[in-house]
Amino acid sequence: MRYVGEASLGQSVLVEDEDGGHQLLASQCPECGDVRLPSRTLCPNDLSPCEPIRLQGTGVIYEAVRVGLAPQGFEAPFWVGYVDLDGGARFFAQIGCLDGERDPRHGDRVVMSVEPIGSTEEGLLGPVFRRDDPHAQD
Amino acid sequence: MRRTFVAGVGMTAFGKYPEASLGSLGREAVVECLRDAGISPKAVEMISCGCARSGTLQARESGVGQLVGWEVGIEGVAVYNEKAFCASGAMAFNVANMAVASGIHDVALVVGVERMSRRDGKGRPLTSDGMVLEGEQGFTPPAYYAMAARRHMDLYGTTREQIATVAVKNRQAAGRNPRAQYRRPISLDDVLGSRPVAGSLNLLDCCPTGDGAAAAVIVSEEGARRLGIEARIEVAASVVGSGFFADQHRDMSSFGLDRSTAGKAYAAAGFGPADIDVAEVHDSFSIAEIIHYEDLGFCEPGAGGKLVEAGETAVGGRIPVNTGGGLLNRGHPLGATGVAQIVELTDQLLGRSGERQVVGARIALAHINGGFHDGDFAVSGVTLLRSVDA
Repeated sequence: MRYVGEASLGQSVLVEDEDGGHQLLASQCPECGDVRLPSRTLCPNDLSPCEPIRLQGTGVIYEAVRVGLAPQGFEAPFWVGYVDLDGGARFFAQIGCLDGERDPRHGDRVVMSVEPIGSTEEGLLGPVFRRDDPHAQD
Repeated sequence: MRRTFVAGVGMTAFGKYPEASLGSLGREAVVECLRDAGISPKAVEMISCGCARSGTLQARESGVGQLVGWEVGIEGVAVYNEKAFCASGAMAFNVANMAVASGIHDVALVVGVERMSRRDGKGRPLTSDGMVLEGEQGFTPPAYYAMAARRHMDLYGTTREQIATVAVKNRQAAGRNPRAQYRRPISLDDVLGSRPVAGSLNLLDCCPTGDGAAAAVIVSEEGARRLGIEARIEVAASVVGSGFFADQHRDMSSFGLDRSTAGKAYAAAGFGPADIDVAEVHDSFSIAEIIHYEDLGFCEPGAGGKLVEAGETAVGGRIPVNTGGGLLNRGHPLGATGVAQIVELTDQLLGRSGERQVVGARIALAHINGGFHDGDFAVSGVTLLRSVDA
């Protein structure tokens, strides 16, 4: 089973830590502090060489939607969205929403788990961001 | 820089034409365009051709402009092939306009062409080259616009019905355009009841794929004089720009890149949004048109939903938008669209749009977006045209 990033970037965006958990592989500019995911070689703000950092995968949903007509390799329905990660980067990923949970929305706090996504035969492991409390109304 | 003019336009009907080829589509549009301009192929000094997916869909990566030139007997000239996603045709127009404005050429042919209904290559019609990591996780363009819709609804109270009104309005316009892909009238209920695609956007909120070509001739005053032709549509501005990728925390209820290109275009032309009589905007998805109203200055931020609901952007309203049916209904053969917008606006400014004519139109705006990269659009283009026949 492959990790997200291996096919598109040539390397996974996820790293496994000693406890078997996962973190996101990002980069940070030592000059301006800009954090990027996926990681960059040079900072787009000042061309400084970026340094690798790891992000825990917590953050806040900027926006999310339910995909009803799936692209090739996926089965509808599923949720996708942009997450503003603690640490600074905005990241597009799948958002977890089980039957009976209220719809994900702007401002929801989320935490990353790593799960199989998509429907390809070889399998794909990717970050899925789930709400701390998916039943909370307000 | 010299003044430049659109001297003639032409296009094929847009739709699904599996028997057609890039060459035959381009030929049909160019022949009509050259006849409209009243010039022979031998008068053309350069070709600028927009075609987004010739490589992946038609197994012809390079030289589509040469192919179209070959079809109509234009040879020995400079040919530029532009690939800029959905904005490929607009980019081709921009390049040709630069060449004529700068004095390098006096007569330039612009052609945009795409064939999507049948594929000789292995690619998919709608890939997002700049969003590969996102694509691996299920990204689709409608999901992007559906998120923009949700932000706009949350921030401004824009309603689902207002968004669907864009699709109904543009279908009504397409009903008066014999070259549009979808012309049968639709209702709000049709849009709201069509198949869910992403978020609140349904199938009738999304533009189709298709085949087609469009062409335009750009001339200088000297070129028009030499050819003995009348060119009455001046290119007041042609501006393109790439995305602002460093800004990660962009507000998706507004497209900042479009504000940038539109601002530059208005500054270059010396007039503003209040002067626009008719516009073509990139309604790849219904919500996009509402956001474009605001970013192009047709109304205040957040007022776009009310603008379309009040009928202000329909033919007969204050500022008619997408009188040819838009991408939603005229169709969206990627590379052809940017030039088809110029065809529609030129016809409007020349008063030859028949049933969908905007009476007295003298100043027009074309807007387009192309592709995505790192969360922003890869391309934005704004063209301003004005009639100078007084």
